[in-house]
Amino acid sequence: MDNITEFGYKTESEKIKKLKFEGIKNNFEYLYNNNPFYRRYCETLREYGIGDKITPEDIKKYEDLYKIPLLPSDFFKELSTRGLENYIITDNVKVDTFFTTSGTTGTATKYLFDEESLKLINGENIFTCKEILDVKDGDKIIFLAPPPEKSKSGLVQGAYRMFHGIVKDNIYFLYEESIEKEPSKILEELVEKIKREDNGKIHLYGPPFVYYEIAKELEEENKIIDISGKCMITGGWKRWKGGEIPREELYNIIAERFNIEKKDVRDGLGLTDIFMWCPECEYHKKHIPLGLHVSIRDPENFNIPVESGEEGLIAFMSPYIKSYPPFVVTGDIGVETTSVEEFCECGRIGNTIEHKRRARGTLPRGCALVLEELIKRMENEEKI
Amino acid sequence: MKKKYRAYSTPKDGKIDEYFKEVDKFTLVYPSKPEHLINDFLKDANKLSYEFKEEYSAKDIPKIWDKAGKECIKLCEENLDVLTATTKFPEESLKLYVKNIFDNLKEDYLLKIVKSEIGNIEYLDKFAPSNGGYTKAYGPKYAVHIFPETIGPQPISTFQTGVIKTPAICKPSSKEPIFTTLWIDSLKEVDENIGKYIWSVPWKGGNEKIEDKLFGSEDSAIIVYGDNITIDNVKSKSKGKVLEYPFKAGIEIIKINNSEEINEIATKVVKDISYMDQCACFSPHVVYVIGSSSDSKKLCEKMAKELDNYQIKRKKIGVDEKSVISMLKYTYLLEKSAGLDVEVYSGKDYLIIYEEDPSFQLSPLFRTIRVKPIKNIGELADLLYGYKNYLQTIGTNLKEKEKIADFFEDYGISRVVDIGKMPINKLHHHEGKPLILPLIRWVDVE
Repeated sequence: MDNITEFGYKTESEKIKKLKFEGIKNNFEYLYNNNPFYRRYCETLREYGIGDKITPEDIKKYEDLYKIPLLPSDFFKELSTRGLENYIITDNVKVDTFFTTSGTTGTATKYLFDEESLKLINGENIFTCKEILDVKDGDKIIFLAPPPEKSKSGLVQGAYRMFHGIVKDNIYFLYEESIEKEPSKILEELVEKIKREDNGKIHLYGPPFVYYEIAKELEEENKIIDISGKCMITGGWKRWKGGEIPREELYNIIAERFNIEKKDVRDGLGLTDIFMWCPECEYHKKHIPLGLHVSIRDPENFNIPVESGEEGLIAFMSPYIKSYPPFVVTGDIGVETTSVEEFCECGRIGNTIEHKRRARGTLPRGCALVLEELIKRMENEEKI
Repeated sequence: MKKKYRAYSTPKDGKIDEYFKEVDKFTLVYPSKPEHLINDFLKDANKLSYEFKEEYSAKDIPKIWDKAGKECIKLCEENLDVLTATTKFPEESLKLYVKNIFDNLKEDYLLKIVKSEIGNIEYLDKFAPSNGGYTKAYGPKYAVHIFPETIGPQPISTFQTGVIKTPAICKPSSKEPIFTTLWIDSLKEVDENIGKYIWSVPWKGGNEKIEDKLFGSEDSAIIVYGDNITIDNVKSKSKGKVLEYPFKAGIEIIKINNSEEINEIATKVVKDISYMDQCACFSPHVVYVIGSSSDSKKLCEKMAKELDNYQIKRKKIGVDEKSVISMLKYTYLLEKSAGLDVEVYSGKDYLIIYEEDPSFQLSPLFRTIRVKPIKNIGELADLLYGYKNYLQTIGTNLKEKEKIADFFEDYGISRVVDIGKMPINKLHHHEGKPLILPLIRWVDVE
């Protein structure tokens, strides 16, 4: 496969589709031949009359990618609950590390990776971050989240690796040790300290609820923290204590309190099951990393994509992960807002998607909830 | 032009500001300022309470409800198209549900309920002789009914407050307000005047302008159906009595004595599952089969066959519900690929899962059921205890229903019935509670 990151977001659709097709098809072939569990699953679906018998030879053109059997993301949770994460590991792949997603409703879901897969993932994550978010060497990043030593969550680990690949050690953490005072005060002091040392752009990265808390504190005290960079949001919008954080209100209050334009407030959709994310462009459209195949599927037949603009389940396939089958259908409802043949208003090639909600009837999950719990725990430990 | 249906009912004359919602080929008409109607009701509550008691004796109420039930069956049959649009149930199933809802709304049966709870119905009208003096029962000044999206509780719930002659506001689900309106129209058809005392006003749950006032009186009662969030919200605001009917689930416990029985058992279990597509409080979520795994699998096969040919089709479900059910199906197929002892039986509108793991799990509904083998009932003791706040009905083909009730004494169970009869037909106690007693206060004159 050509390295997709050698092409930019301005590349014409046919070329991007060809690259996506080759990457996903090759990875499907690899996993079909080397992951006995996944192969059995493909055969089970056939036994149950779900789709035709699919082998790598059947994937001949871009549209055939929809035939690749998808794993529901709930299954990863099921495996973790039973301590069976190793069960889906590909033969002869040496897994070196793991990351987690939600642990809000019991056991956190574990994903096992080999270094080679992580290197490829990080390569594209870095590329996406530079291309869409314009983060550059010399910039500073402040995590509104605990450091990677304290959280195995994909939200923290994936972002740390990605930013480290761009800004090296210019990464700071709001929740470095413990929380002794109001988060807005800690942030204010941290930003001042960084500015005294250097004049580069400062970007913030964290979940919605932390932004909300800090921005509200700043509003109450009528203060502004001038960061000159971007505010990158990731994680779920649900709050630990119920309710949903109002999106527009949060965008506005962040822009106001960090003295940036609203177009520089960027949410991102974390694809924790494959350790990547889809950041928003300046038009607040969530862009799919070029190597990934992300689509919206018919909720009753995962092999069929729904029409652009129609609601369905978000599904994604990665060309990078070898340690487990990275062909996943999530329990999240979304719509495609720009097709892979179209260019977004920002001038970048599609596709872009919009996350609507977790399918009602399932339990809430998402890294932001876990982080909120962790941060609250850190606060409580401090009080004790 | 689309046919219009009122989504509210009030005796007020004059212009009411309205807004419209399109549902399929119908236009539903809602009050745009429900708080004004609630204010009108609260302003008149004392007068309404007084007049209701003056104009009716308690004995009149079962008679009116009985006749209104017959009217409502007719009215619903004439309006099946709009009910199908709001409930998403197909017409043939609605006919069955409506018939079942009103089957036992008979005068003599309603009188029996009152008699069994308070002895003499006259206590609801006046001081009547009692042990050592005279006694009268007083109800609250007004009541509020908060109804679920699923049709069913409106007639009996309004009877609970009607027989104690307490004026009431009904809050129907904003998605399905029509059945409540049809029910009040039926009451008015039998007795025009009774409409003065039963209003229906839809508003968005959590509206503080309405709920702070309406729920804030100590001399009120609220009968609320809904999920725990709805109920907790109501309880946190209410200063009066609250009768809560939260989300509940049923189970079936089955023993297959010989293979000839399986067809009959499957037919009955399917009847329980497909009734209201498991959206009711009594619906089964898990079927436990005492015996071998092969018995359970055979039952699943028969159930699947039965559901493939079932005359009444499933209600229309949305993207979310379809997604949750599909995710469950694929997750089980993966588990099967992983070598776990599971089987998946699925058709156009059902999903049956055989699973060796006996733990209880709530179903995502809409004809989705897990079938699990157990060795004996004792095995359920630990498995179900954690779910005691959810459990309501047990359907069983075992003869020892009393023993089962005793065994699950501490598990929140309130009904043990034969399989195929899980839908509530004769409401006696609801969620293990009496219907009238929790709403009244006794005064003795000695």
